[in-house]
Amino acid sequence: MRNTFKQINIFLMVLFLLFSFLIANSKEKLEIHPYLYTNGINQGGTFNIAVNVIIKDGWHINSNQPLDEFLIASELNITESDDFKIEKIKFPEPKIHKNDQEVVEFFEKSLVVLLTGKMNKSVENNVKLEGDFLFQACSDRTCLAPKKIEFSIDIPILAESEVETNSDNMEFFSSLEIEDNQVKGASFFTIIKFLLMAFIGGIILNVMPCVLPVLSIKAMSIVKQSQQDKKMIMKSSLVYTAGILVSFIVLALVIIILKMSGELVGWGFQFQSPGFVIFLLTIIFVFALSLFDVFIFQAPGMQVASQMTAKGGLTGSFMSGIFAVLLATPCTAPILGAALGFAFSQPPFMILAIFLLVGFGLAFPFILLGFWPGAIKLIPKPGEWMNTFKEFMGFLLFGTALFLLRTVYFLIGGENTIMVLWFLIFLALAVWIYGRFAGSENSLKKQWIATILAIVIGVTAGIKTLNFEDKSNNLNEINLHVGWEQFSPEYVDKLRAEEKPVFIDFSAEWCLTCKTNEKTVLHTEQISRAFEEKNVTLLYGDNTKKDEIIGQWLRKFGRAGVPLYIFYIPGQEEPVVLPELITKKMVLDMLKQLD
Amino acid sequence: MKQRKWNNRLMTILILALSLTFCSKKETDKKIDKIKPINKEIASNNENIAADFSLINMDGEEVKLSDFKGKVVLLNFWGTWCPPCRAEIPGFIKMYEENKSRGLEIIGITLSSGSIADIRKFVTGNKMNYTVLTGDEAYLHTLAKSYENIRSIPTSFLIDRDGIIREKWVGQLREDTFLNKANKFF
Repeated sequence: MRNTFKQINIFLMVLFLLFSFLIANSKEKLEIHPYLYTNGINQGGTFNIAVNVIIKDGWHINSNQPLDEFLIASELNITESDDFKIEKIKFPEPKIHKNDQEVVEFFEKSLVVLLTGKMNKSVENNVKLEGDFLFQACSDRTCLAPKKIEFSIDIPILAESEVETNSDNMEFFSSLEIEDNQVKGASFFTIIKFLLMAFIGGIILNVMPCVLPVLSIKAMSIVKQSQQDKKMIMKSSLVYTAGILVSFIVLALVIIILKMSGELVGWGFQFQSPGFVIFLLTIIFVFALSLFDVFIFQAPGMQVASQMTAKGGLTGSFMSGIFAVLLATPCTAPILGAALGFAFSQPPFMILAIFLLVGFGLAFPFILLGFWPGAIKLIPKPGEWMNTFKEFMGFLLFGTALFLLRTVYFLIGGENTIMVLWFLIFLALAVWIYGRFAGSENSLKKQWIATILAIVIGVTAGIKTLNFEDKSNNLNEINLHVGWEQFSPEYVDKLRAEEKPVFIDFSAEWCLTCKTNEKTVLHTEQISRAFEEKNVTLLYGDNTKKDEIIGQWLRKFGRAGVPLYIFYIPGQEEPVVLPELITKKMVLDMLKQLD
Repeated sequence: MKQRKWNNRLMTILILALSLTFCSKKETDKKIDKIKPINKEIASNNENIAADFSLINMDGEEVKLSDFKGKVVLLNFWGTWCPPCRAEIPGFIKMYEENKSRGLEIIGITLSSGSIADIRKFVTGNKMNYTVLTGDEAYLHTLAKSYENIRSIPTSFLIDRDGIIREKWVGQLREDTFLNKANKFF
């Protein structure tokens, strides 16, 4: 056991060192990563090198053979050497942009240039291949001066029998071949970076306000079980993990299918559907009622409760996993935003891989608990406090339900929200009847009648109250906070042309992180005054309902969902982008740049 | 012994959490640092005099900014290889045609665009009717630096009759945006 933990400790350390390194990586417009196909080359052997050029989002570079004579071609140059001869440099096919006046060929996001060369027969020592990539980058608005980025790669000289394909780069090159020697996807390096970010983002999700209630109830139920059966801790944790992973697989599949059908989706997109929000609201509401022991689920005639959700049991663990994922979706944790943004631009298997890693991150504390059951002793012994705690968590869930109801309000309007409230009252009545009269202490007949009555009330209430059809979609008004104006790209262009500083808050009513940031930072008196003093125009982009333009902006900044905070400083083509979780200090520091 | 093992694990978790906080904060700071504030003087201070320069026009003649004293100048840093700069040209041609009698001068300073012959080819091909200048690369580099450290083009300045910079625009500039600001200086 001790070894296991030593390994976990080492693993965590390595993980974080690697992560810090990746974060510290420079933010140039372009990154160059050369990869050698083999582990080395023999004397006189032919070698293949893939040079992966990653272009920052929002920027593009010219093709290697631009159609317009005045445009500056992208060039890959290799420094001449006596050790080898370059035989071929092959650029991928560029993208083409046509308008009325011109046709422009360009590269964006990522490209791979393939180099083929031959090693000299007399080479003895390892060879360093050096080169540079010349490019001229433009955004839609401005262009930067042409620039060269240097790169190099060491080529080990090996005996012919020792040369084999480089297992580290296999994935990278295999995708090259699939795509006819042109990689459109990201490099291996980038993929690993984002997988790590997904995992860490998943861990952070655990402490986000939307996940915490389910998480703490799960922890509590595990404590309870551990008193009866130590092995159950491990089992529960694994089943909880399974619940999370299955949910993430389902979510990933839904996204993949939507993407394939040409839909533009982002993280938290499901909260743009009133049906889904009401469904989730109903489940959370009923769950909260069960925490106050209004009812305990059991099929009529059964003597043993089936132990759903908070009552523990493996089914309960699985359900908790699903719950945690359902509730996590509107909380885009720090770091996770970038990883999900990346996932949404990737082929299906990468979406799945990234979602699974987020899932592993979310389940990670429980996986640790499973392998390290001793930690359970950190939590006080079971007793009356657990009931108190459980009921307290019930209030948190009611709070979550109210938050979702707020989303419902912004999605379908006030009148319909009242109908949803009526539905909840009837639903509460239904579960109360069920809890009161369908218990095993009653006669079987009574149990059946109570169960059927509860179902009838619940279903009828649903049909009668949740039937709001079209009268919903007439609310185009956005609930703008004082001093804020509605976002539109044209307005941003206009303000920027007038040299005015512009701050944009992309938010949604269902996004708890956004609302927290607004309440604790953006809408506070101190920050409002600071914005006013600097004459900053404040714009609000509402993504509560699906909005194509906001979707495009989120993707432009590599995000899959809200929140996104952008600050345009007059005279600067690139805006300051704040992280998902912001503090007053960050905003004040940002504003200092105007001085 | 058991206690120590516990402490070690708690330490690991603590380090883990701290490194996370550190990493994410560092990135934010970097993002903010990356964009330096513009010199406020350019945008709002009346005392900001446009730096004089001496460059060569398409006929090979020396031209100075001070030659245009008494005119309202649109000073436009551009390049033949820059699509957003090229998109500005038709509007500038029209605006110059319509406003030169009011005292408007447009000066395009061409960056990193090759020899005079190359630039002249572009200027003729696009029927540019306003002053286009170029010069030695190193000189142009220093000039771009003295004009608010220009890092991207197009970047344009509105210079009034007294040679004072009144406005600065980064990115494609539309005629109406320019004239809105320039009208009061004619």
